[in-house]
Amino acid sequence: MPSEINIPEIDWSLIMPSLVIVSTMLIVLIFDLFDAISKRVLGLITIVGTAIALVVSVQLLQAGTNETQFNNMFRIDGYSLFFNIIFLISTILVVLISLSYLGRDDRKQGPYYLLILLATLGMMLMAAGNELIIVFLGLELMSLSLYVLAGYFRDNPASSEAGMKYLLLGAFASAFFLYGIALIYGATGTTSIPGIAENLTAESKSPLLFAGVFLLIVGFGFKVAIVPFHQWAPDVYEGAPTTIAAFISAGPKAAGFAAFLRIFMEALPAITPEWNIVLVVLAMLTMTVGNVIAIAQTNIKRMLAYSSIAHAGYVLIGLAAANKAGTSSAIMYLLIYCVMNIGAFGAVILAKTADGESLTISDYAGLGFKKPLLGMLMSLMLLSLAGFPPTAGFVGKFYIFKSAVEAGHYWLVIVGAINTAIAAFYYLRVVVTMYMREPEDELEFNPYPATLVIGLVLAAIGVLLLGILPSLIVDPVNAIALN
Amino acid sequence: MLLSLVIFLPLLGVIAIALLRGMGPSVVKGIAFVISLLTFVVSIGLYAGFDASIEDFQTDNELLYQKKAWITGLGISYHIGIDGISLWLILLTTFLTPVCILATWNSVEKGLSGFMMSLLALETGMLGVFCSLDLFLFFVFWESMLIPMYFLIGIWGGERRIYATIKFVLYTMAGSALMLVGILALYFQNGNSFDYTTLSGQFDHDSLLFLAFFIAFAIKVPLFPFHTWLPDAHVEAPTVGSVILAGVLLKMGTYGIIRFCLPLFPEAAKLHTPWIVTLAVIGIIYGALVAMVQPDLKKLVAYSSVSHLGFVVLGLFSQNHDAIQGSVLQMVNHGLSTGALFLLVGMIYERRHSRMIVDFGGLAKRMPIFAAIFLIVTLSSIGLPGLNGFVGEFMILLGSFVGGAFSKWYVVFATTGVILAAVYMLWMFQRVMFGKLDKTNEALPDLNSREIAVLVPILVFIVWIGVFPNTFLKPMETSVGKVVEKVQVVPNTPELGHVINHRDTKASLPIRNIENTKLIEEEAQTK
Repeated sequence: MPSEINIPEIDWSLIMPSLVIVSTMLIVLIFDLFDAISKRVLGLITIVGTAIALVVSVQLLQAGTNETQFNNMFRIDGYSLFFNIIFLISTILVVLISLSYLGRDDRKQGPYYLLILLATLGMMLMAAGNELIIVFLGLELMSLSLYVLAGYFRDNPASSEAGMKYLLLGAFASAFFLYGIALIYGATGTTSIPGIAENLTAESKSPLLFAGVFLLIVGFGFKVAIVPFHQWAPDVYEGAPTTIAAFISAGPKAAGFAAFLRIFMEALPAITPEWNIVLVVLAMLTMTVGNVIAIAQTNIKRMLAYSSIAHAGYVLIGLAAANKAGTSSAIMYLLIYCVMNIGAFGAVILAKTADGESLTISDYAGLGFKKPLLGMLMSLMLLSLAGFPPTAGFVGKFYIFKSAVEAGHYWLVIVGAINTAIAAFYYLRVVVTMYMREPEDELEFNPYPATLVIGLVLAAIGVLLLGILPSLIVDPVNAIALN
Repeated sequence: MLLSLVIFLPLLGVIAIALLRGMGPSVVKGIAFVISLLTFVVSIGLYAGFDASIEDFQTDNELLYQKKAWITGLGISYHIGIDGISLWLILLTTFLTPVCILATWNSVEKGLSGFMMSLLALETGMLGVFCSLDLFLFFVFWESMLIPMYFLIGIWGGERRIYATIKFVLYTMAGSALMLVGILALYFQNGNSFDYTTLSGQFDHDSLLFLAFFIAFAIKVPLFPFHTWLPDAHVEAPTVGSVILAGVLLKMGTYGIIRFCLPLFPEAAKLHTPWIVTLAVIGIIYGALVAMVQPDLKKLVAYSSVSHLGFVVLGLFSQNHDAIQGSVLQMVNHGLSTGALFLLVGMIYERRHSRMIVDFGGLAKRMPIFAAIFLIVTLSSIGLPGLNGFVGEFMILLGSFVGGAFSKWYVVFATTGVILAAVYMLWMFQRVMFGKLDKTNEALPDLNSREIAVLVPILVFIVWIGVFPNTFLKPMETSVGKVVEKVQVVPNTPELGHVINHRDTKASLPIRNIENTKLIEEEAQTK
């Protein structure tokens, strides 16, 4: 009997953001073939393409789109569109800080932007996945691109090591994740997110299901660097090109949380009490371990790596709150975090000396007065990461804590608030070094690259604007939060 | 609108300096001074428009009250207003800032524009704390004022400035972490609102919330044993940093207590009064004893602050109208006297580059003007009748002795602090000013006209409060009365009313409760 392939009707306008990214990728690929074209154009094409995708996403969001496509596998709702915005903003900022970082080496340019776009596409799939398989597909698309990007500087042993380490541990995590999907399928008979929620009756609360959920947590825990699955992060951040460290710490982390939130809030609400307690413990552990170890770091990239682990802990608070405010605060925090963290890494790149990178914190001594712009931008980003008003970081943390108090997790908030104080110590230490210590030896600096400064100034404006007028983001985020 | 202008005028100065910093140090100093002076002038308008008969916030006066939606999604509004308590702290802040800028005219060598910007940003933060009627807004100002202070101590401070500034920030942040949890808990129990004016009566017994707020404020005051950051911060801070720290920042703690801890959680406050008052008395005596043995002038003044603020906390928890009023007045007094002391220590340090008492002696011969002013300020700090310190301390001690909610023994012990204060201050004065003049000190010049101009306005207020305390007590009377009403109505001693407040007619006793009025009548009849 001849089988009939059912081709669903597809409304292409709904997946326009993804299509724009794919087209941009193709353009970059084609342009890279011709030697006559300056390869520096590729970065600009990437920015333009991403910006168009951003505009399209914003328009779809404003139109209040809420539909599914591809046999209910792909979901275009406010949630996924808002995450698209987070990813695309991150990508634009990362490309802006990359333009000067890659230098004039033409061979490096094409594949770099291509992989960044591919990873972005993967993230968008993860946020839009209405089906565990799609989420996995997006996860792999993103991860594989990132493995290559982490080891992008082949000549640099640290970079190669970072790529290798990331690949090995990441592959394990993906396996765990896939195994988790299989077990959940076994328990509920479906991989569709709404389907799981429907099939999750009292009888199906089997050990099989819990084992599957546990494996999902492990898989996500690795991707977003939650303690105790965080060990890869510092090594990868330190070894990978700084721009890629910024990229990995921002968009992919947000994407991991996008799928994490969607699956746990929409597919597994029936067993909320069970996973909730695990997440509360993980959140406390992640914040505390991340912040305490960050204190001991002398290398600023490693410090930012541990800080980004701690920030994953803050986002987990929102997830553990398991209410509407929790979701919206987590989404808002991810956007703010992406902007300020890329900004901080950008400032690290800005502080590059003429003969390489100044990466230990003590090298920053006296920079605040010697390079006022750098000092101001770096301080702003660090103060925002530390959560001081009137920066966006403060509003983000406040909203997260608020949602947890609403859910009754007082202890979680107290631990979180104490962690904020611990974190202030190491963020401020960099500021102390920049402004309050005398420089030990004279360092030579290159002039500021214009594109990098543009990227940083954009991030700085974002951090201040969202800090002073949080309504700009609070209202839209509240409108799209999962309930 | 006027209130917003007062709060944000200094911030305008920050922006102006940032834009015009290239035009040289004199322009930067000029902008900073003019802006801060202008802020003071505008803030006098607040006093002019203030209606002392209103016990609540001046909600009807558009100049002194403002409420605007800010973050609607989270129920947060830009909501500011003042009452008789915050009025004085605002005026103290706007008064001390231009004084500080004038005092620091020639002493900042590096990063002058940064220094002035930090000082002005700090002023905005402090004013915001005193005006906020939205808990979120309050917390924003409370936290944001940390950053400029952190830079002031950390960049322009002394040898161990980095240790001191980090300690200062971490102590405050640890406290505010708890307060944040408290604020959030209040929000949900108050029907999803951060509005201060709607909070009341529902949390009377909530001990946990009380403690969440109280510990944050106790660190800021600082109450013994949370005080260890203070001597470090004071000693390492530049002169004006110390002045602002002692003059205004510490008051944010006591202000927090009277604004939040007492009226929002009155029953819990009563429950915890015994140990809090015990700590306050320990602080009074401990601070005084430690101050006595300090070889360093600045450290001596710093520890004297611990002692003086112990009195303020004692008065605040007495549940007695006069004592609480005395505490509020004493906040202002301490800001003036201790601020002036730090300025004087700074001036002598600029000349001699030492703050060690042993390095001085016989200065009165070389610097008569300096000695005279120093004497007045010292006496004010000790509490000589006729100067400001006396009025505040006397009201606190008498009020809490006669009508206090705790054993009279607390007050007896606290009073020894007054004697100890006389010991350490006068002994210090004697060692610095009298005796043999050291050879190295022979060339020290007396105060110049700028320095005199810095100090004279403070002296004016020191004498003014001492002689006519009513100017300052009247406007705060009804607002303090409202707090007392929440905590407990304790009949006041009629004598006290006559001695201190010159309340001659019953008409001028708007907040006196009925029992009290009866008491006075009965007394009059028996006479």
